[in-house]
Amino acid sequence: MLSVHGVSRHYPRSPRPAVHSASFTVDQGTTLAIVGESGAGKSTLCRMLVGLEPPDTGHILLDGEPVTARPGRVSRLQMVFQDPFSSLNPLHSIGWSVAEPMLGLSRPQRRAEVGRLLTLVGIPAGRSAERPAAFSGGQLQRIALARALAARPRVLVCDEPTSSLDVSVQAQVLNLLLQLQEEERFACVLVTHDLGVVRVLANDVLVLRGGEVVEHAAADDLFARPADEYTRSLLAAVQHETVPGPAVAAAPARLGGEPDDDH
Amino acid sequence: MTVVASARNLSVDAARGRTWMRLVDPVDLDVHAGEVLGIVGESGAGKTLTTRAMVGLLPRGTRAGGEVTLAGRTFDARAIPREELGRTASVVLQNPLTGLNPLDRVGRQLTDGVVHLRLMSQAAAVQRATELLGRLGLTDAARVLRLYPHQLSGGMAQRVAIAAALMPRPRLVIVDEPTTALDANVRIEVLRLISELGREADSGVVMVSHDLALVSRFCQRVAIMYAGRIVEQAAASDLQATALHPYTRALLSCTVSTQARSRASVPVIPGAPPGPQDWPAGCVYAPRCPYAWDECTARRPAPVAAGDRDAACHLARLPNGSGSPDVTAGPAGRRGLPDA
Repeated sequence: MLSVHGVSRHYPRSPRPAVHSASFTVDQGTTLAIVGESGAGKSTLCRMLVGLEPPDTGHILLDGEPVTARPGRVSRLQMVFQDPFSSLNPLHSIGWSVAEPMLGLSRPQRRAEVGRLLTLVGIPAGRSAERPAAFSGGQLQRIALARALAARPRVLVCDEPTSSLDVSVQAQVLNLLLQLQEEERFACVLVTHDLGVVRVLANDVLVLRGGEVVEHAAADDLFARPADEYTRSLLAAVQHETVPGPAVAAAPARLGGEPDDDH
Repeated sequence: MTVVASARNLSVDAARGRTWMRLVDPVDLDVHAGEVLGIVGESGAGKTLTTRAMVGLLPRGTRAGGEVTLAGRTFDARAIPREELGRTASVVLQNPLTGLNPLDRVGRQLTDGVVHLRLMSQAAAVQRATELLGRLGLTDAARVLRLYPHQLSGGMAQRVAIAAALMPRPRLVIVDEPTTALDANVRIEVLRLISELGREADSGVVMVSHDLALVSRFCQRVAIMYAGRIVEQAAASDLQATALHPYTRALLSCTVSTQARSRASVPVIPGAPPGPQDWPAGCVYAPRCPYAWDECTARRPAPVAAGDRDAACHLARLPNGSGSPDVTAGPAGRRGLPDA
């Protein structure tokens, strides 16, 4: 569906290319995660994917056609950003924002579609007239997802979609992404530094370092047998972070004794 | 272990017209020398307000109650002298650039405070700043000292902010969401350095975060906050082994890790935390708790202490095994302990 062939981008006055000769494909209904530290070229690659920047060399094809952003046209590649507060217009209702990419629909059709999408992401359709300030961070990220889906995208590019969210809200958004992809069958490119999120969402993983692709593998293989030294160091860093052990999965333990403060 | 900072009955209220609305219920906290204490909770749990109240740095329109002891001196929480901040206590903010003056070079910002407070001479301050930046992995410290904040990358700015907080050798260092903007590998490194430098200086470090899994690795003790209350305090290792409060357990279960199942749903905590205006009369977690029964909605649970840990849960008060209610068929109508 989405195929990227030998894409490079070199900014003027920069000693090395931001992205050098990246190639990959993403099939319908699957997710490719792009991981790497700051400056690895993840954002540049994303901007090229959605057509905001042209590659110096190589080409990006969606269903065999080149991807370019055209003003006034709704792209079939949509993006969900890290900060949901700044990705929705604070002066307009969320219903207006979700309806904006819906071209060629009558007003009643747009209203019905906004209601359907908001319900799909777990926001009551009756709240479509409210402005972003009335919603929490997790709700806004879900609204941003609904807006991206309003354009009926073939590819959804998610840039750190859960890193500004609480752990419990992150879990809701991850489940929603899995469910929506099951229903809408879009291809997804996920950029994140959280390898736990990668494990949950990704079918394939691309590891970038200094603009170079150092590893590209199926997620199961990469987590089980990382081939590159850098990937191994990334995995080693997070595997030191606490993982809920089996004891936690048991029922809450109980203490003896009496309350020491009965306020 | 020496207590470097403590809070007793520390509460925070916000002005609502002519009345005050409670945002943080009275909490007790002790921070020991050389220890890292994690305060973990979701947005709006009151963790930032609690730590700000400990150093007298509450925003306008809010007021603190209770007492705070800093380096052996006890203050009314409403009147903590401003000089304590920057002398005995310091804070590293979530966004490091908001704590740095964009018009001053890094070197001046690091040294001015301690020289002004006469904690050290200019030369000693420059030497300490250079040492700290070096320890924090900025090897070209002399160059970094000459830079302006806009010339720093996110990781560098966070390290400079940490160095600024450690300059006066404070007894208490509060680090608020220290690594939100950092990459995974830099994040681990920064947290390791904070805990290491705190231990070396015999300071108490309070790490505020919403990521229980991450901070547990660097903290000796963790306090879990929910809806303005501390619901559980325990050694980090105990918390991982046996979470006493259902909320702690739920937080751990919905944390995703590289051990998670691929393309499978993540456990979620149903519902959302109540706002301060909607706090229930009983246990604040009862509306979302799978174990809640009549007692939970009727009466607020007080912290139950056992050794060096405690939990504010009616379940925790029951003796092991005996006399416990049948939580598998509680009056609340919920059946069966949910699988984690």
